[in-house]
Amino acid sequence: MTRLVLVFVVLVGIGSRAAAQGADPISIALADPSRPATVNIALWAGVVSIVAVDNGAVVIDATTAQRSSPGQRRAGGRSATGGGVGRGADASGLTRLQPPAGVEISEANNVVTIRGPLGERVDLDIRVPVRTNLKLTKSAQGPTNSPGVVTVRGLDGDIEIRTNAGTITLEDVSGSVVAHSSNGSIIATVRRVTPDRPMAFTSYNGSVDVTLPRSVKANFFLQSSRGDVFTDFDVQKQRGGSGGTGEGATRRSDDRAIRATVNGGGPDIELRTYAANVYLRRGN
Amino acid sequence: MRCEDATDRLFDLASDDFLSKDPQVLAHLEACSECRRTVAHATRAWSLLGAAQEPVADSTAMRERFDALLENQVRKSLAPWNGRRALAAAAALIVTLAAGVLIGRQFPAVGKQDASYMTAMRQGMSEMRELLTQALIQQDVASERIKGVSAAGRIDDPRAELLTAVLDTLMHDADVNVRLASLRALERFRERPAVRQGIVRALGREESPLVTIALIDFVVDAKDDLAIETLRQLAGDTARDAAVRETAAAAAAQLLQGGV
Repeated sequence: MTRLVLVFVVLVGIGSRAAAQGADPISIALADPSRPATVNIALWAGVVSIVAVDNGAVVIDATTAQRSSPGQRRAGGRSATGGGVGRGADASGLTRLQPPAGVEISEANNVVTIRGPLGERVDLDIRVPVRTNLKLTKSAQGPTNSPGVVTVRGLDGDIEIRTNAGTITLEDVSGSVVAHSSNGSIIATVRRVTPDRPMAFTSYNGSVDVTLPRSVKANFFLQSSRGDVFTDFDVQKQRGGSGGTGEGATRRSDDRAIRATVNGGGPDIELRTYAANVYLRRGN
Repeated sequence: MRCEDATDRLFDLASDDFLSKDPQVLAHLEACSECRRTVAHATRAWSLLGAAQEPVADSTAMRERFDALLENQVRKSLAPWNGRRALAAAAALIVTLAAGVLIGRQFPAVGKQDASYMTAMRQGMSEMRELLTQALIQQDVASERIKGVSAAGRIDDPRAELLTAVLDTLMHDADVNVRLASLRALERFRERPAVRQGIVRALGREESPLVTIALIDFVVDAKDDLAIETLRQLAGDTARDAAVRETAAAAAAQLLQGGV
């Protein structure tokens, strides 16, 4: 029953965004369109846009937009699989004449996996069915080496995004969200939450701005170490942490942490940043 | 929703009022008699165990069946842990136990032994809850892992194995948010030496500045002077984020003064 589609997209980066090239969009038909899709993405860097549309396929438009450093273009890496070289071929000791940025795309049992090459920026424009679970990681460290925001619109599923740089924007999503950006902000509007599912939105240097349904039942953990926490929810603050504190103890963490329930409480939802503000907004 | 999805949520269905909150589950149950029976048995079991104040009927066969299930199914079938299989097996165990309770109630009461049996049964259910929690921690979906470690943090007097699983998650989970949730779950147990040692180890290896600062807060809150050396190393590590170094230096100084 397991179906496997393996596609190698070979793109040639020319060295500037203006000269970026890509291939035609690739449409990956799901093994069972009646079931939710799962899209797993692992990139080094890049701008990623994922939009839910009403179809039974995952459509991927990949574009290289920036060349990597010379040391990252040496042969023998994963990107050597592109350009007609067989997957896993030994290219050690050879000099690549025209370095490609290979994006590996596979599908098996409704799970679409997209992997970008280490050290290469790849921009992705993806259309997915509404009922899609998403797991996205971008590994490049630092904003200068890892440009690109992540935008997700309209998905209904388990959404997990982890990036070291770049803002994460979630628009009109449903389900559960676990998102972290080390150096970017998180802006999220969640239309409907999966009952009994914890969620987390965290950043180190960026702000965290989350809009949740006004009827959401949750136990919130809200913290900004260097900023402030704002909300228009009618929250009931809880005293202390789950373990309580000794009288007179110096509380570093609870100096800035707020534990509060909304609408009688529910699953844990964490909004946390170190350096900026936290905004918890009441939606419709 | 398919039967296997409903099975995955059996723990929720049986242990709280999740059933009334999810229209998808309700719609599925309306159409599936088998799942209705399964949920009814599991819910009945939780209800019986939660409400029972007096010893209930018992039988030797029932006790043997219960012990055998715990020993053989849980400790053998669920080890090593395997995500969905573990949850499904544990859920099946709940259903089997529910059937055992219902059958056992058909027998006449047998006296004092019932109290000790109920104690054993409650202990068994507590262990089962820990096993289910441990299974959640192994799930592929990050929100499920957060749910698992958070559940662990709410258990009174958990076994060392469960806390070890939470510590392991704190040190090795790839997701920053899961690690933060693990740390919060351990707050209640910060007086345990194993937890303190685990936190200090995690502090030395953590790469995320957000989690590192949360760990520093933890050791300061716990007044754990065993962390002073690690904090000094962090403060002197120029590869670290500046705020991490500053926070570590301040924490080391605070702990040297007795944490005040």
